[in-house]
Amino acid sequence: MKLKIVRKKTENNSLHFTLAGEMTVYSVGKLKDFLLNELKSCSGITIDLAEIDEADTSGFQLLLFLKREAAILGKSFRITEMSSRLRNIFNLYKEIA
Amino acid sequence: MADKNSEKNFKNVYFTESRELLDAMEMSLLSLEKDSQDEDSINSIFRAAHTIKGNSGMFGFGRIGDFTHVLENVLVGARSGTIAVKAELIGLLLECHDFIQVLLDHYESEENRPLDQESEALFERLITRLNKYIPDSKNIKKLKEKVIEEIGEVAPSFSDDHGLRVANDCWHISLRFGKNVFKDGLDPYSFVSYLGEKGEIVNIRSIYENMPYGEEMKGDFCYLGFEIDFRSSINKKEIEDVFDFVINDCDIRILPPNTSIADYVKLIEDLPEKPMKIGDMLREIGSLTESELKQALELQAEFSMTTEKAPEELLVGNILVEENMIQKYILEAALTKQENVKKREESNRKLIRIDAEKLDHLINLIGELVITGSNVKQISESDDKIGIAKAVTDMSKLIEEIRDSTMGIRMVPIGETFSRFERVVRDLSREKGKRIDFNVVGGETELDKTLIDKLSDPLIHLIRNSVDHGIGTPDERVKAGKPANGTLTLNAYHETGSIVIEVSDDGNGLDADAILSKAVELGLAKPDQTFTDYELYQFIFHPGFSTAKEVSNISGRGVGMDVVKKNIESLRGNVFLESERGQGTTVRIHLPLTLAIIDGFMVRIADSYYVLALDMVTECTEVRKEELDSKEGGNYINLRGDVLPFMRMREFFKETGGEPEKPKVVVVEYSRKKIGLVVDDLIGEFQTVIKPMGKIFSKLQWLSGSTILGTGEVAYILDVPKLIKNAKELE
Repeated sequence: MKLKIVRKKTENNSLHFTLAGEMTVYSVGKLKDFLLNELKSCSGITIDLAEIDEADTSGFQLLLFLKREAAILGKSFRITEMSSRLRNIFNLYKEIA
Repeated sequence: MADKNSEKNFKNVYFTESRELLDAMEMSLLSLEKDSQDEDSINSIFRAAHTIKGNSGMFGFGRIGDFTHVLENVLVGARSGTIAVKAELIGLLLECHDFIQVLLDHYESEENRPLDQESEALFERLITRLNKYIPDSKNIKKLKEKVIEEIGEVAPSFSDDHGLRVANDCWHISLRFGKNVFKDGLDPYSFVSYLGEKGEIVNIRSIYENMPYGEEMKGDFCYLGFEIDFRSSINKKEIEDVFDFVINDCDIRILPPNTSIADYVKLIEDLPEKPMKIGDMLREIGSLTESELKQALELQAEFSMTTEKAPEELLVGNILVEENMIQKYILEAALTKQENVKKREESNRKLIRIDAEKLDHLINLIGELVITGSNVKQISESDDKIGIAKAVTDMSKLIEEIRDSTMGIRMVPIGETFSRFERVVRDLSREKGKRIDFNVVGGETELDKTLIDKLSDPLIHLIRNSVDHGIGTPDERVKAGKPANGTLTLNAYHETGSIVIEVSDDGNGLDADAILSKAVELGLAKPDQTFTDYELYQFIFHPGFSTAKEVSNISGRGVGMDVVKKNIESLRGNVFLESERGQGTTVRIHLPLTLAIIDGFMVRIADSYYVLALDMVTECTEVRKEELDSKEGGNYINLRGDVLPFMRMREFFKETGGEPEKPKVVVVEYSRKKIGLVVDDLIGEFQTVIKPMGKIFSKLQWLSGSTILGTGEVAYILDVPKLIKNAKELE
């Protein structure tokens, strides 16, 4: 899995992640389990995706999923930065990150 | 909250359109009968069946759908030549046509009830007979697709005129990707962006309604779908090609630009997500407007309701308990039948197709009226008397024109109704073993829609009479020195102030002796009495009068001509008979041009005002009083060398006092007879709205109505035809 995750605790029991590398069908399975668990244990997540140099629709789907889960759990989920590759996908699907 | 009306309107439109299609189908069938190779006719029959089928699905009229489906199969076969078009097949198709009519009537009046047993049995019988024609059902589907492609997909066409089409001019594409798309190494991104290269993705929404929550969701499974609004000049096939690689792993639904709401209803129905959710999405991306969405969801709700009901319906007629239900249905059906017929008539009256050109013309006129109106207002503030007079004249001219074209909106050519009788003639003449050529003359003659509707029954009766009694069998005719094929002609034309419709045949003519002996038998005449032909023919209009030697199921039961006469008279019309023994019979129906407004001609008799229909007034003249008085024994004057009978209206209405020194004579003509009416004074032309006389005045047979003058006074409308008839009888 060519994906690097940097986990950082921030104030109010929030978590900040910096992801770098590949967010594709090869990584999203495990990434999903990981982030869902983290989401449950904290009060909110911010995520920096500036370094995601490879992504596909499954990555896009995962972000939609996390957003929905966070909303259901009553927690915050925010993407701070996005790589141009991810930005392209969001633009094509006309989805607001 | 729900706009029930719009839904009802859809249905009304559906029924109107379907009936029109059926009419077209019938005409095509009849022309196919004459030329079995006529491909246009087969195509038009197929198109009709196909469209009715398509539209019926929208309302969940299952039986119509099922039936037309099988019918389509046979038609496909006939078109491709695998089924020979023979008289027998056409007969069957005509029966099918009639049955669809029955189905339409059924759904229109009691849509949620199952068919009654009789219709259900007929349904089964016809389906069985139809199925016999289909040799291999496997190929049919392919053939059908081919046919539809060749003659063009017939989208529910009734949507066109009635705003049932969506405003959106983009393709709508619904994608639902399969779970394994990601794992198979396919990325929806590449397909969607490729689509973007083929045109403009106006709007797109990802839909993941059915994505599981929490742990259930597998990151590498695809749960996505997209609703896309796509603007492009490429065709459906090319859009499908974009998704060629993923075709096995993706549900694709493509709706063309400006498609019908029905298609969206089906889409909402087909997609796995909740209707409301899909609906919102369609509205968000602009595929449907708010109101279109509302309509679609309403229709969809109804659609799913009726489909859910189906199993329940199937139970009916199964076992004991259900037997009760049938009883109940039959009972209810019987009880409500009358009501339903009435209801249907009412709904028929609500919808009327109008020539767009006529409507445009009217709108133009209204526009001009608005301009003239403001002109009048402007000038009236000044002192320009001549200007005012001119503007007012302009305006009243416009009002008159508007009145005429408003009346014209209701006018439809009678030809359509006429050609409908072709089927009647065909069926009857076959049954009776006769050969009859059916001709229509003057089909373009326009007549008030209400009049046409009410004429249909009397005309059918007259046609039946002609076929049954008038025209003989080929043998009889040849013996009488006539061509073996009889001729039945419907003719429509204008004549002074009225429209004339003739039903004529070249058959046996009326049998004067038989009429006389029947009249004697019924006690209407004495054996030694002599009658003119005209008087003899009047007996035919007597209730219960029939000279047919045997009563057939078509006519001869003796109810008929009196009813025809009554019907026509209720339309302010008249019936005349002309007949020559051995040469044929002509029944002539005179009808007023329109029902409600007439151009009148006002006259004064003593202190009262009377209005005559202007169309019937041929001229006015002045006579000296002595000229009227000096005639001994008869009321005739010399009108430029012609003998003109006259009626002194003062005398006729028992007014006191004599005529003025120079009484005026109004010459009126109706059905080729002229008389002069002697009145005190001529007032002039006058537009009149006829108000029918109340019931207590129904005995006043010389007046056909009243109208209110600008001064508030009442003027009576003289029944000229009756006056003429009366004068002729006095002669």
